[in-house]
Amino acid sequence: MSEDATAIPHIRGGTASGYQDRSKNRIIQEIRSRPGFQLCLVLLGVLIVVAALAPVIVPYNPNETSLPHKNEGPSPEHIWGTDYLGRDLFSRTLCAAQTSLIIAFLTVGCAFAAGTVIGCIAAYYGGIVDELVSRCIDLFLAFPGIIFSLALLGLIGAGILNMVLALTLSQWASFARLMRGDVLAIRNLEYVQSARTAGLPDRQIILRHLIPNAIMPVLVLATLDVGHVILATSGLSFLGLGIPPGIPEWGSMVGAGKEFLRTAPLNIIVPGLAIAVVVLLFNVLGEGLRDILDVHKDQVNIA
Amino acid sequence: MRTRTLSVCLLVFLLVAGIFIAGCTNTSAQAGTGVNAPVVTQGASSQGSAAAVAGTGKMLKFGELWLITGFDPMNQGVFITEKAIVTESLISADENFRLIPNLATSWKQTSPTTWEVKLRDGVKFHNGKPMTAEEVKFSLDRSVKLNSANGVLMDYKSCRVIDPLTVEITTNKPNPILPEALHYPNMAIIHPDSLDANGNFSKPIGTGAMVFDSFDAQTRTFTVKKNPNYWGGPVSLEGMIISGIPDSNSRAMAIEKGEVDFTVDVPMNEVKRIDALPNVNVETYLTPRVYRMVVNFNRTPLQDKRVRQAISLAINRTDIVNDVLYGVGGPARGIYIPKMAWFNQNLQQLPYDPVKAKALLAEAGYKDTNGDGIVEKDGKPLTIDLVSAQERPGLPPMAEAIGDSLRKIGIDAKVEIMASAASTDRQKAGSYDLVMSPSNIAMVPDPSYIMEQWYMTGGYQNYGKYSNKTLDALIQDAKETTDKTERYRKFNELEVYVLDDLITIPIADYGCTIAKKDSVKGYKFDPTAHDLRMDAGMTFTG
Repeated sequence: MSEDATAIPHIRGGTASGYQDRSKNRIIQEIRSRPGFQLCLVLLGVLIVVAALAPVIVPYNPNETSLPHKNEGPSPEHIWGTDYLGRDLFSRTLCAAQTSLIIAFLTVGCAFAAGTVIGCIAAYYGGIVDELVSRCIDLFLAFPGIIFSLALLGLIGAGILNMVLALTLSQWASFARLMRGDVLAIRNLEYVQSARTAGLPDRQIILRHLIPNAIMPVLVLATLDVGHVILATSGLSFLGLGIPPGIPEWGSMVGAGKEFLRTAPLNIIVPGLAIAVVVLLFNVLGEGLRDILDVHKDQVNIA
Repeated sequence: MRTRTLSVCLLVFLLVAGIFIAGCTNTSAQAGTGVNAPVVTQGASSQGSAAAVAGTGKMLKFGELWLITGFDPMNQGVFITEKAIVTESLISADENFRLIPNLATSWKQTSPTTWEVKLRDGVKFHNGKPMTAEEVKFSLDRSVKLNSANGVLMDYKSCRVIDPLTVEITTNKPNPILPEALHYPNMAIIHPDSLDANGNFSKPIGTGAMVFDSFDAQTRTFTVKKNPNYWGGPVSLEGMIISGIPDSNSRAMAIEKGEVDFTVDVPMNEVKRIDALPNVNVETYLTPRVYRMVVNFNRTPLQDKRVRQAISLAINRTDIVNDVLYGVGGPARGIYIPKMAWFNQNLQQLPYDPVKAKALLAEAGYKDTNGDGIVEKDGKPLTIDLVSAQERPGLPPMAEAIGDSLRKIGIDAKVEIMASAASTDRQKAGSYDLVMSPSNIAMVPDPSYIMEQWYMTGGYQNYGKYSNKTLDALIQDAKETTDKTERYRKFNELEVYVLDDLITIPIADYGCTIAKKDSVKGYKFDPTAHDLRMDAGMTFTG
C-alpha cells in the first residue's frame, strides 16, 4: 500500500516537486558535487565521535584544579592553556562539546517528535483540534523563546534535563507549525483520499502517508535548529542559568572567564571559538540539506 | 546558499565579538530580572552629566559598587550617605575597631539600662542649624521606627533629652554594647528638616563633610558638594559625583578610560594591570568581612566533627588567597580579622593537610570501598552540596576550587552557584550542606555581634541551626561583661572554641581594592565602614 502511495507524485506550492521521487542516487550525486558540504559532514562526524568519547580521551580530568598553574598559555602539557583555576582548557572544551551536543540532540529530538506529531494531528483532524493546537502554537511562538526558557529555568533550577525541557518547550511550536502547514497541503491529495477510501485507519494514514511525505522541511529545520539550540544553551549558561558548575559547558566557561578578558583571554577565546565553529558546522549542514532536498527556502526559518 | 552561509558567518562573528564587548558593558542581565534594566543605559548617561560638571571644578567622579536607589540614611540610602560622608554617627571607630568620639564626645553607663551621651558643641547641620539633643532623639527614634532591626541592635527603649548637649538612652535589657551600636550608619544624625511638610524624606541634611546637592533619579547619579562649615575642619575635596557601576569589569574600564577618578573592587586579576597604568594606582585593604562556609548541622555527616575538620584540612587557603583572590585578602586565622582589637593574636592560619583529612574521614567511617574515588559509609557515598552566591567576584571561583579540593579527599562535592537572594533562600530553607558566605563581621564593632548571631541557639544568622548549651552560656556571659579587657579575653577564648569545633569554616579575610587616579592624594581607608567610606581629608587636583 505504501509503495503505491509513494509512487504517486503530489503537487505542492504550484510546482511538481515531490521528495519521494528523488532517487537515492540523485541525492548522492548532489552531495558529491558539494565538496564544502562533504567537508562539513566529515568534521561533524569527527566532532560527534570526539564528543562521545570525550571523558575517555581527554588528557586531564576537566574539573581538576591546580591553582598555582592558573591562566597559563599553551604549552606541551596544556595545548590550549589552563583556565582561571588551572584546569586544562582542552579537556574542558572537549567535555563541554559532549554537554552541548547531548542537550542539543535531546532538545531537537524531543521538539521534533512533539512538533511533528502535534502538527500532523492538528492538520489531519482539523476543526476544533486544529483550532486549539494552532492557538497554542501561536502562543508559544509569540513569546520570545530565550526569555521563556530563562524564566522556566529560574523556576525549575539548573540541570541538563531541565535545560532540555526548557528549550524543548520553547522550540516545539515552530516544528508543529511547519508540520501542520505541510500536512494541510497534502491531506486532500488523491493518494491520501484513496488511502482513506480504502479504509486505512487514521493512525496508518498519518504514520505511512502524511508524515513521510511532509517531513523533509521539518528535518531541515531540525538540522538548522541544532546550531540554534547550542547557542541558546550557551547563552543561558553564560547568564548562570542552566548547567551546574561541575559540568563543563561552553557558555558557562565564557561567563566565568569574562572576568579575565584582559589578563587571560584564552579563558573565553577557547570556548567562544568552539561555540562559533560548532554552530557554523550545523548551519552549513542545514543549509546544504535544504539545497540537496530542494525544500523551499521561505519554508524553513528558525525561530 | 552562499549568501545564507555568509550571513551565518557574520552572525557567529558578531556573537563572538559580543562576548568580548560583554566585558566592557554592564552585564546586569546576570540578575535575570527586569528590575535592573535601566542599568545598561545608566553608565553612559551618567558619564555625560559627569563630564558636563567636571569642567566647573575639581569634582571627584566616584564609581560606586551598587546602584544608588535612594538616599535616606535610615533606609535604602544608608550606605551611600555613609560613603559620601554626608551623614555621620554619634560614635566612630579607629582602624582597630575601638570606639572614638565623633558627634558624641563621651558616653557612660549610668545604670544597667541607661546610657548618658554627651554631644559635641558647635556642630552645625548643613542647613546651618546647630546639632542638639533634640535632633539626636529625632534621628534615633526615626531609625528604630523605620527599621526594627536597628531597635534590636541597640535594644532601644527610648531616648530622653536631658539638656541641649546631653541625651539619655534607655535599653530594654542591660546592653553593654549600646555605644558600638550607635556606630552603625543607620543611626546617623539628621536634621528634622530632612523631611518635608508631610513627613516624607526629601533630602539628607546631615553634619558630614559633604553636603547633599542633587540626586538624578533617571541616571541614579548622586552629587555632593563640600561643607564649608564642617565641624571637623576645612575640607579640601570640592565635591563628588557618584554613580553606581555594579559590574567589576565595567568599573575597571571606567577608571582606565578616565570616566571615573575613584572606584572600588576592580576584578582581582586586574589589580596588577591597573596599578601599572600611568596615573592610576590600586590599594588593597582588609574590610570587616570574611569568606566562610556555613555548615548545616541538620545533615548527619556534618554533625561529625571529624568530617568538618577533614573539610577544613582539604582547603589550601594560601593557594586560594594567592590564585583565586590574587592576594586581595588574606588566609583566615580566625573568625575575626587580625586588625580588630579583640582578635586572638595567638591564632595561626587554619592548616592544609589533605593526608590528615583523608585519615580523619577514614576514622569517621568513610572509606572508598568500590574504588570510584568517593568515600562511602554504610554503602552511601559522602556527598556535599556546596552553595554559593554569584554576586561577589571571589565567591564562585572559590566555591569551584573548594569543590575540587573536597573531591580530592574523596567527598563527592556538588557546587551550585546562584543569585545571592536564591542562596539566602536555600540557607533559610536548610536545603544545603555548605554555603559560601562573605559575611560582614562588624556591623557593630564588637566581638559579640557575630558570636551571638552565628553560634547561639536561635541566633539571627545561625542558618546551620547549631545548638550547644555550653557555648550559649559562655557567649551570654562574655556578652554581659562590661570591662573591655576582660570582655575581649573571654571572646578570645570563645574564638578558639568555635574554631576548634569548626561550627563555621572560615576560608579567607575579605580584601577591598581602591583604584584611584594618582591625583587623588591623602586618602585614608576606614576599615570599619561598609566596603569603604570617602575621606574628607583627601585632595583631588583633576
